[in-house]
Amino acid sequence: MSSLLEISDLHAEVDGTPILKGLSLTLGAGEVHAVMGPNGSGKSTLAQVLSGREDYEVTAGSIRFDGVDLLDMEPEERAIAGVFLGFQYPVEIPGVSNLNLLKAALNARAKARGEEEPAAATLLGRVREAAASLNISNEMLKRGVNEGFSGGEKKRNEILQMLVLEPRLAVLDETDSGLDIDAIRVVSQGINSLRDPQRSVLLITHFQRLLDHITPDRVHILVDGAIQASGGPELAQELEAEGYARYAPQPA
Amino acid sequence: MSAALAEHPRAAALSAAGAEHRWPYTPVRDWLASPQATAEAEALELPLPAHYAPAPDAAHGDWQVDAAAAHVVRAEAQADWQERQWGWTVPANTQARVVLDTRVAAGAVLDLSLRAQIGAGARLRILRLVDVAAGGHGFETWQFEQAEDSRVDVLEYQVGAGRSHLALNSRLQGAQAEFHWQGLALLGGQARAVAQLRVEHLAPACRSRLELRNVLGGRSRRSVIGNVHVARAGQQTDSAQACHSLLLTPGARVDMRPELEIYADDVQCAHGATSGDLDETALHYLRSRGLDSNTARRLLLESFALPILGAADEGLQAPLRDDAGTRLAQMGADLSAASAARVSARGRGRDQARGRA
Repeated sequence: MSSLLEISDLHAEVDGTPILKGLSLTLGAGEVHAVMGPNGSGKSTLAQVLSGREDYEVTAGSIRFDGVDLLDMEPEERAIAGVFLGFQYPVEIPGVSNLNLLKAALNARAKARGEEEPAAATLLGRVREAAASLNISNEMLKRGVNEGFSGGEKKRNEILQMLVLEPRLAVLDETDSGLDIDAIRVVSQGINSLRDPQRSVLLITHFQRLLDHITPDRVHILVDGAIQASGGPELAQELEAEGYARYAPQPA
Repeated sequence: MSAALAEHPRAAALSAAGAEHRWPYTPVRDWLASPQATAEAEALELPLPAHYAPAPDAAHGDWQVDAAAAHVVRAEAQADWQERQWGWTVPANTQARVVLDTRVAAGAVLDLSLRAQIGAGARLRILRLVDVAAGGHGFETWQFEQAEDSRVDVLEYQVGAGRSHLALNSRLQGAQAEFHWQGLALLGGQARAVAQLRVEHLAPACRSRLELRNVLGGRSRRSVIGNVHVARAGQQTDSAQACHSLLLTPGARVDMRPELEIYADDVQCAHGATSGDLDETALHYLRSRGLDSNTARRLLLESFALPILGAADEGLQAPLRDDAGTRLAQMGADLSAASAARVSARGRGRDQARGRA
């Protein structure tokens, strides 16, 4: 199986503070990996760096996506190449409807690939079908992006965007936090429905609970800016029982 | 030119009348004499629906605002000093619509004074269009007197890079009168736009709303005073004001000052103000969905500005949104160019850092 994402020795800092300190991770096409770690370990920084957020400065290391240097690409170029970030805190944008955002995003892809813009009816059909599977109403689609949505609704809306945009790599940053049990099930079904041999998912999470619904191929433990251990799904169970203490960095 | 205009008798009169005594920055005469930016902004062109008929040519004088028609009133100043003094009457229980279209060219001064009497139960809707070119000056004084159950709605759309000063005083004299002001200003260059909005609640159960949104680029400066006066008789006053500003450039500036003068004890007077830059997180969110930075900026600017224009009459909304959309796209593109220059400077820094590692 060829690797879709190859992160090696990644160092990144925010406002001069080093957060990622030599993170390496390889994700094969069609695989689902989970990255678990305590607060402040660098999970969200990893997600933001993958999406190209400008406030995060990569000081060393490389990220290759499908063989090309991801760090040389603008955020929108990464999106069009097939990288999707599900935000931990999705942004509210009143005045721009959810439908319009999806339309603009699909049109940008079509333009970049030299294809024709999808017909309005095709787009609407595709969005409604995905929305129905996530219990998102037509009324919500017409509202401003995430405008007045509850925490759970925002997360479901992230998954909706993911399903419509059909990324090759979905990075989901704590998509499970703030969800009740029913919502976790709905969101997990959405993620599972995207699984195919060409697509990969990086699940970033605190808790093992999401992994009851989505079985990952690999689990990585991120502590202090680097992967401290990797293993199969059983590693997540182990963590749930024992916590992160044994992975804490040893004083030199 | 400017110095000559500063010598005009009206400049002295405006200064003496204290048009700016509540706003202690630049006296009118100094304004007129000060150096001007020369950059020309795109002139405002707004196709109006056919049923908006030009008002009878009235540089000065009083006239009754016709209930059935929708009027377009133009006040233009081209390279000289123009004065307009109007008195409008809206008879009781009638409805009137007016587009007040104010254009001031470079080197010109417009001095406009408007008094309006709104009869009991009458309704007046005004679309105020203001385009003061760089090097132009617009001075406006509006005074409204509103009888009971009357309602005035003003929607203001202001563009340009010139200097404008509006002193508005709305006197709610009859019970349950309402005054609503919504304004959108898209300013650039060296624009100076001052708005002193004063609403006097002189009778019980009157209602007033002031809502202003400003998108400021270049070295523009917007100053807003929202003054709400509640007299002893103004029990059950319901008043709110909000002023929100986007400062797109380091040189842009906004001054916001809510003032409440309350002499009654059973009132609600709310006020709020915010100012800031475009939200970087929102920008990144849109780009992470594949929108280029120009499109993302334009969407965010539209999301901030355009809802105000929803208050326009149906036939006016589309042309207003089109015009604002074009201007916002330009403002966004200017920003993207500036930010691309910053990022490429930083990108070079990053490559060096990675080279070292």
